[in-house]
Amino acid sequence: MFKDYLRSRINVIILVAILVGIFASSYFLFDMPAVTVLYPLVLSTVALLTAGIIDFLLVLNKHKKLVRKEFPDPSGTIEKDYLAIIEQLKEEERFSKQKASSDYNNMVEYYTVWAHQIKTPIASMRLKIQSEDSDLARRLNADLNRIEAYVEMVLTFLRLDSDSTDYVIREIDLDAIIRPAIRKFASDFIAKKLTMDFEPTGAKVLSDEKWLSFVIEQVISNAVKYTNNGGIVISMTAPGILSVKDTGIGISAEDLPRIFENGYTGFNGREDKRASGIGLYLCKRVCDNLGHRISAESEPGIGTDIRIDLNRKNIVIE
Amino acid sequence: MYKVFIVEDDRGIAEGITSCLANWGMEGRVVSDFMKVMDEVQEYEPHLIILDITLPYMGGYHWCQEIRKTSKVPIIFISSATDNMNIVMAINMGADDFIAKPFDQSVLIAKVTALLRRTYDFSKDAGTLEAKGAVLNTGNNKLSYNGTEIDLARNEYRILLTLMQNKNKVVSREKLMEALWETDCYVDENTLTVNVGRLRKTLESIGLKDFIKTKFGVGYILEE
Repeated sequence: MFKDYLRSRINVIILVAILVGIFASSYFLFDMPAVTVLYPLVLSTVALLTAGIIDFLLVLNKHKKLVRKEFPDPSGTIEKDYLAIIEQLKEEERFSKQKASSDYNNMVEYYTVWAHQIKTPIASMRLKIQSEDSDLARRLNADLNRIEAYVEMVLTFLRLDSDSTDYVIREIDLDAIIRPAIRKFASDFIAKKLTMDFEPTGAKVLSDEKWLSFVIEQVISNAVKYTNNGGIVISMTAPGILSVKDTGIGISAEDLPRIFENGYTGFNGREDKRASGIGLYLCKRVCDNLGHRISAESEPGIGTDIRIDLNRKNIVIE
Repeated sequence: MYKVFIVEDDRGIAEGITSCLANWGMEGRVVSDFMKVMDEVQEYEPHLIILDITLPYMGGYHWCQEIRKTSKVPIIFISSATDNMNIVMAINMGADDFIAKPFDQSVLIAKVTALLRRTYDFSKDAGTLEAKGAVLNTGNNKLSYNGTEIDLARNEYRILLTLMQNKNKVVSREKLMEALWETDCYVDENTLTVNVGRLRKTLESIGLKDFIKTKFGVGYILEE
């Protein structure tokens, strides 16, 4: 601080030094008595130091105020100019923040409306397709399932950071969530000739029904997507720990730590162009919000085991 | 026959629901004038009402309250707005259940029949399906033929039901498996073959020989 101050006053210091030099050389050349030189020199030094200290203290005070983001009264035209610019920037920032947040809200609102709009034609198509019994209808139904899943992901993505009002934590019957989730993928299991092994857990867990359903559906969807032979086992491996284990292609060791990251697709995802790397990321975020933990174990060629720890940590029951 | 009144402005969905109900031996009627929902309800006297939330003119919540002023008929809301607030609202308005769009036929039927069962004595005159003189009661899983009545095991009932709903049509093995998955029986092809075999034996025991025919490589058919 003091160094900075000296640097900012360097012109004054140099000026004083020059003046002292002029006086000293004149006195020396005219060979004046020492007293006539020393007396005004001491007085001038005292005056200069006092002025310097006062000036420093004033600057220090100003600096402290500015650090607290308070603006001292401007002294002089230049400071007034700076202040005017700052005020203008502040105003502009406020305006653009407001605009960004209203733009964002509009967008969220629109996507929410869109997601609801698109569900009506999906519902209509679903009812029609389900009254057909043919390979074509089954394939269309599978595609429709995927469209629906993407719409669910949009809604989840939008609601993820909304107020916690959308989370209703209460005791829920875990099996009543798992069964409909499995049913959703029945046609995929049957088409791929995969087996489903689910022993009812009989467990009651503290969670939000809708959000937990999303996570479980997403995990089953991944398991079905990346399994071509064998099947999937859903079970409770330890109290509160739900495991969805498949005999699929697995995830390589270098991808495994990153599969819950946003946009990370890894080797499997790059092979499969449809992968967006957002499904598991959303699962992780939802689990975080619910106070659950999600983790993965996998061996390429053997299969993947996704585990959801449903024991809520440090969260007060509403 | 149970009558269901459908208040839904999307024609595709309304027709889908109607044909789905018809498969289960129920009658569905779709509202024609969205200004006069109450009048049409009073005229039709349905056993159950399926109500969309977003409707032209007045929304589903309004009609739900109106209906509740005079009637206790079971009401199911269907809507794509599935946040908890909407579900809570719907139930507070006096609805009995809520189905989120898009829904499966099986979910719709499960909720409709569950409500009918709770409200009326469903098993007595529940939807019955008939083929070649055999009558299947969807309320109590019983099959009667020539005066004998037998209980069907869960999987047997489900297979027979699907075949009877699609009388004279070939039903693929996939469709039968899906029907069983809907009841949380995660069968594979072999199990299905075993189940069909068992059902045939049960049918033979009351004199229904060759009731179900195999269409090789495709599925099964129940022909009249």
